[in-house]
Amino acid sequence: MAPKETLEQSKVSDLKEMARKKGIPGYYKMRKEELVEALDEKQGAPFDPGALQSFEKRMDANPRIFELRSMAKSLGISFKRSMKKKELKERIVRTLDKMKRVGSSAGSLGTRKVEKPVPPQPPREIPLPSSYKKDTLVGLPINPNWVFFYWDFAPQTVNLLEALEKQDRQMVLRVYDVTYIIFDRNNAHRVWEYPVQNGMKKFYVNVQMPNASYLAEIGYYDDARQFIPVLRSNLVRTPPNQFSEKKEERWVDLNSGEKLSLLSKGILTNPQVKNIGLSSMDIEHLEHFRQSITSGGGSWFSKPEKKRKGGSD
Amino acid sequence: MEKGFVSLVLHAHLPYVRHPDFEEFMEERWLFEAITETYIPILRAFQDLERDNVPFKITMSITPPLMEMLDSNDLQDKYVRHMQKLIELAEKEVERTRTEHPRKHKMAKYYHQDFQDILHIFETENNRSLVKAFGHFQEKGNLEIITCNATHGFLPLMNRFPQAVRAQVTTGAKTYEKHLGVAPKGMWLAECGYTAGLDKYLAEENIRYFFVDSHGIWFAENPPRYGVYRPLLTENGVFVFGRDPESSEQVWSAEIGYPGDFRYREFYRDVGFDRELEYITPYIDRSGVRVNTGMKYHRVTGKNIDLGKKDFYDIDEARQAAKEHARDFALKKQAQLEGLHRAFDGVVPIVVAPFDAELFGHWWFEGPMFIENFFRELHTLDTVAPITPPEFIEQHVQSVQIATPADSTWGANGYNEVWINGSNDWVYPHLDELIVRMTELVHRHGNQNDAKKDRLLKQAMRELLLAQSSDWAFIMTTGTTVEYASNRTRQHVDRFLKIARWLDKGNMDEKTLASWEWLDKIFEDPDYNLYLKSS
Repeated sequence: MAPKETLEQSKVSDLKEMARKKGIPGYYKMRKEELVEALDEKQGAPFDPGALQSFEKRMDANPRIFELRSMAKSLGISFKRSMKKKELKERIVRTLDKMKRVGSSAGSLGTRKVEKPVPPQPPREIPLPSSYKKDTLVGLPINPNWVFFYWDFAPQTVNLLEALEKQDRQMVLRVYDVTYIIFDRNNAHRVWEYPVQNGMKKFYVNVQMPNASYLAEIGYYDDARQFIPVLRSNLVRTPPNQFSEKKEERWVDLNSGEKLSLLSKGILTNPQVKNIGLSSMDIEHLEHFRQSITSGGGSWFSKPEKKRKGGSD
Repeated sequence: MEKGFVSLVLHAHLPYVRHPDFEEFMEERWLFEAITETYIPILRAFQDLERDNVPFKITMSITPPLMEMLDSNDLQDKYVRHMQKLIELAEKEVERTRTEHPRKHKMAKYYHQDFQDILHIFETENNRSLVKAFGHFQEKGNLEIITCNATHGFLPLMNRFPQAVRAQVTTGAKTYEKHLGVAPKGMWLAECGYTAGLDKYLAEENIRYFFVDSHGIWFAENPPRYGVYRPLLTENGVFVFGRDPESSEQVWSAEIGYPGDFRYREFYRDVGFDRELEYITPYIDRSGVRVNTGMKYHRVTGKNIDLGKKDFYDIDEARQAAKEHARDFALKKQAQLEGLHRAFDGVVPIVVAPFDAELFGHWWFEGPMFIENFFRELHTLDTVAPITPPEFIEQHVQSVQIATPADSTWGANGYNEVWINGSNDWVYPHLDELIVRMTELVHRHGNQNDAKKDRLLKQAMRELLLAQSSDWAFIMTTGTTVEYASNRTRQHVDRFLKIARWLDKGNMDEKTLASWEWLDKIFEDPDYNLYLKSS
């Protein structure tokens, strides 16, 4: 999220767009400094459950305007003297609410700055196994040019790999283009290799060729510079992204069941291939749509992560 | 004489979001909003067409989780309470807007009446059963309801496991039958996600047709002579229809799409956000988080107009716009189909226009009026008529081209990247492992005349199917309510793993199992034997 200085240098229209996406109520009537403050405030104050409780108690006791001002001050909310009680109250409630959520979903606002040490919070996220302790190497197609691989190891494989690592042997992910061949490990059209760092469990590979089949292996090189595979993946086929080059049309008569084959002259409608798969909504629409259908979810709204391709994490 | 046909397809879907352990739950509003803004307004459009004897033909997928939710008594109760509160808010708004602006006041009165009508349609006219209400129009021949794979699981990434695909497809077909009493003829594949071989599972269930996005047809293994304007037959004998890109663009494009008309209602101005907190608190989420109420007073007004500067909405002007757009769309379909008919030398074309149902009404408030008027306009034209896919097959397909469609989806960019990318790829190792374990569990513990084991296997299957909903991965990509989606995935995986442990250890916590059966109550009698066949 943008630091305050960046916000201050932003255009009002950009700030409004950010505020809209964050679901900040009444943002469209805000002036620039109010927008900056509202957005900056969204970054959240360090969480202190005790302080939060005491603030909430004070709010419940129907505080007078000067009390609200002092609370706002200590919460780091900037405000104007001219601000009405109602408005100030709303702002405080919003901040307290934000603090609560920041505190309760540890880490979900990853980039927020923490000035004071945050007391450890029990994770609300249900933990799942980080490994199923089985030898697995799986390839999944992403689109015509990218394939995703993930892997996991059985304990004995972990031991083997650890032993290899001690000998400074680099683990390698090998990807083979095996389109239309019976693979014998030596006849792939193309081979790519990627070093696998310890702890890495997935990788996106830019395979370049649509409508092609790929296989991967994880392994290492022995002393004779021979690649020794440890795991092999399933076969992955990337989808096509252009018209078939086949010159044949196959037809069947539904009444007689008679089949016939004709020479194709291509597609009569001569389709203009653009915006492939522009879903009934493009991604921007989708965001808005889901934002809208989830209503209040607006404040949790963030831009979709750009595809992280060709890298790992 | 008809020269071509239009098949409008609405995909109605929501993930299974039901939290009976909470009196109110924010994400349950998805369903309530969809009922109020989309499902009932569409029903009402059907009723009006029926009353006026306008022949209409439309196809709707009502997905298994949506059917199960619409059929859930606790959600029905909650919906009624939700509407009662909304009507109360509308009452206050009628008073409040009296002194604000005449057009606001007019709309407040409209909402007040409309919400009451909607509740009446829900409770009194249809005895709370919207599935039956739609079923009525299926029986009359106007509506073709199709199913979807069980929990809207994304099949292209499940394809390595025939048993998992089969469980999704068959459970989808069976759930339809349970709710509608007949077998489904068609299936909407979640996210329009097709990959070679899926047709086999559809054929096993006697599903006669499904849909793919345009490029699924265009890039088919053999060149499709008529493009997306005639169905193809797959290797396993299932018909496949392709999406018409022109229709999508006419309705959806940000530049030229109808919903952007300045007279239409602005989505982002809602009293849930506009009114002061004290006043609106009883009508928003209990946590104090503001939400949309559905009461909105502004119109789109113009391009790039600040939300704060939007003009007031007038529903009569908007109705007029919906009529004009319906007329325009009908004429465009006529021109398009006549052109195709000429180009095809008299072979009859079909334009298939699928949309997310929730677009109509929820996002595009006037959408249901548009649909209604579209059928009225089509009725005035001689050369085009609406049709459902099975009718088209029966009446207009004598010989058909055989081809395998290309792997494709209707997601951004047309392939799988919306459902597998850096934000959500972590789910797949878990989902895959669960399939493997489910299969092993059924082999080890199934069919032993052990009621407890049966219960555990059934619940394990429910948890697996729920974890597979494509919605969770989708939400992680779009970045909205990610925490909810992530927790749902984690929760179902976690419950599955615990059940698996109980089965293998021969013990279980009866109370916990019962609570999961109550919470994740989708599919009354899931058939775990579907995991036995691995080809």
